[in-house]
Amino acid sequence: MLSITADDVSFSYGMEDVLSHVSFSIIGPGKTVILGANGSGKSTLMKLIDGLYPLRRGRIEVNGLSVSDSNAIPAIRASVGIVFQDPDSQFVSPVLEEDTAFGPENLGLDREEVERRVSRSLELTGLSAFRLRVPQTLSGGEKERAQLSGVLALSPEVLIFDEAFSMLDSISRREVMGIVNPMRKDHLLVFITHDAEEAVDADTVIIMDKGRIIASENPRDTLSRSDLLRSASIRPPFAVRMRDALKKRGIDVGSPLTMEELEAALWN
Amino acid sequence: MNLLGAYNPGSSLLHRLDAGVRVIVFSLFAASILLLDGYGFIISLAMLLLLYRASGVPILPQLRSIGRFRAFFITVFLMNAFFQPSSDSFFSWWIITFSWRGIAMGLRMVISVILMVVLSSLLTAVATPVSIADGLRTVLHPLSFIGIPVDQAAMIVSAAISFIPVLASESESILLACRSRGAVPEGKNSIARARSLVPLVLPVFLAAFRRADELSLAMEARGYRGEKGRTRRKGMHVGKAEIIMLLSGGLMLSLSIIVKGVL
Amino acid sequence: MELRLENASIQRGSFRIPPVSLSIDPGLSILMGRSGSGKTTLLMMLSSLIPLCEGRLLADGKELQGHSRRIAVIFQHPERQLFASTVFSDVSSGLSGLGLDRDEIRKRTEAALVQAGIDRRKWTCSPFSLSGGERRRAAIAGALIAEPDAVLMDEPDVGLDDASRSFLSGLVASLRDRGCAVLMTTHGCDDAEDADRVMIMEKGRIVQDGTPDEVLSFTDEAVLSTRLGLGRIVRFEELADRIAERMRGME
Repeated sequence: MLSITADDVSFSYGMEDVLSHVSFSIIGPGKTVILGANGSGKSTLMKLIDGLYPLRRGRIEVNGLSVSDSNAIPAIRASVGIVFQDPDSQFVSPVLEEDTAFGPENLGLDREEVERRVSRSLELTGLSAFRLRVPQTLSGGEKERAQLSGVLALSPEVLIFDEAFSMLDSISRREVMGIVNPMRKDHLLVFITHDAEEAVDADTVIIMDKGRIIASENPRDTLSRSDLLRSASIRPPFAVRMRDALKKRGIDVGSPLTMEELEAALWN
Repeated sequence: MNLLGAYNPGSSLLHRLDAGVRVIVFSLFAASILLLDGYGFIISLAMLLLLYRASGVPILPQLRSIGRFRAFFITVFLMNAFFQPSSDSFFSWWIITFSWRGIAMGLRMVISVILMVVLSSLLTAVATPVSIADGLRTVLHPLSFIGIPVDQAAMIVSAAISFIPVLASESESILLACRSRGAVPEGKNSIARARSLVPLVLPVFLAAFRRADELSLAMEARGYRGEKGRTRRKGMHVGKAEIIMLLSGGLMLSLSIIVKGVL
Repeated sequence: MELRLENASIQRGSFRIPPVSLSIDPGLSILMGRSGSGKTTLLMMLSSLIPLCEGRLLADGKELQGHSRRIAVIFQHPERQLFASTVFSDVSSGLSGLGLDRDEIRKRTEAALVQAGIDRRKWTCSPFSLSGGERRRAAIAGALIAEPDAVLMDEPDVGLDDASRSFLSGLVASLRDRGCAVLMTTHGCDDAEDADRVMIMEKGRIVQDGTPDEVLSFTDEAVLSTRLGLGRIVRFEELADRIAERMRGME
């Protein structure tokens, strides 16, 4: 069963709460986007989900396992793969295949299985030819794919992307998304981002603002509410902004989310 | 980019050596360098040139980066030249003694250190930190039976090695940023420049901690929970290449013992 | 100030920028490109902080030998370069070595801190007691306090909160008014539509160079306007006007 559930989670680093009474339930497979501006608490939430920070208030369960149960943590970490924002601080080795092997080695798998997983991951991300390259010398998009290989080698059921593609240009982003999107059929994909355009094709959109969840529904019911997004310091998708601009000028085009829907609504 | 710690991919003999054997071989060469102090350093230098040639790693950039630290080496030399007690001195006053012996000691020390750095740079150029750790672990394994935490020590060493180039580039950017704000005086006044570098230690430390923090989080997220239970590489594999290098190392060490005895 | 590179090239590690001649005039110029395209390296070539392998760097026609303080550089994550013991001394360090007397230094530092929106009570505290956004604004204030004639910014908008974002736009606007040459590298296209000039880099070379209208073909606005047959429109509000016009015309 693929699921992440949170029940009344609160967390603080010091004096102020970074997360307040957060509750949600994500059932997979599929794509969920957690949308929030810097400082909304979204990255902290992700770290709590993987048991990287200690949870003292509330409960989080991943695939039925509680993050507060220290015996369950290894199983949780093996089933949750996180791709972080800055690839340069993620590499543990200057040789790609060695870096990709790091995850499976931590699981104590035997040597042949480790090699098999490494080859498979590198194939999935299209980096087989780069096996012996130094990851830090790869281009931005290739580095993200290298990070992804390391994570996929764990064979995780849940994949979390923490602002992972915000640094990439559109071409590299499309390349990586081409690899990642098909996985939504049998994995639980969670994208953490401040870019509303990424949420347009999600199954569920969770909007966070200052440590709280202010909406948790399908894209159309969340992303077209520009006042809600703006109150959370999130810029609405282009099509939504254009719809608002046209409405101000007396033209009503309905509720488009993507460029294609917008186009179809115009000139009709 | 050719500082200590930077890996230089290749397929030479040294690159392909078994991790454990490589650690042993480099230890033999290191011991030779230490023994060949004095005029023997010419032999050490020849050996290093040969090794670099064999590995395909360029030696000039290494020497150039050592050149950037000349202030350090000059200080070491001066400390020895002027503070070495000796009966046969040019002049002596209080704790300062300037003598031939001091100059000789200073030179020997500086040369030994430089040669060791050049050797270590070669090791980190032909072996990734992970494989150095693997090698150390394999070779020092017997020590774990008497309670020494070999696995953890090996991991610490390899993490430290991998951080050297990272910290070097962070320091460089911090220095550039401060220079652009005029916080580092230009010009030849070295003392003023050195003094202005002191407060920069703080941002560099913070950068180091930040990187270490991010890396350890990433390692944990990928399932790292200490060295126990991790898949190990296969045990030491000794083939033709390994035997050649072990013999070379052994030969070098014997040679240096002989030379030391003779001189 | 007009910053000019003449046949300048550089090699940093394995990264090389082939000889390029480029002139940055007063106003806002945007440098865009993929990661690894060489934006930051080109910016560093213009900064006078690192030596060029070939060619020369000129400021207002005069060749620069070494670093000039009339050119300010704001690196990525400027808040990571704070190093003094108080916010005040960190920001004022930018004025050292210019021969100003202490009163003048104090006055200018106070003005800069006020503009950056940093509360007075925090001025004598350690820079690390400030929030992330405040720290970045303080770092930027410190870099610009010597009133440079050229400002080079490397992705200044990465990871910014709202307050800092508006501070940054206000800052860029006042620099432009003052006649500074401002060069910004960026990933995204947001600020590009108001710029005077947009350059796109690929693999160490500038492959496109012109006004936003000429160069920006891949922004949402440009793509939509082209697909609707309105020609290429780069400014959002303008596009909305034209679409509304058309729709009204069709009724």
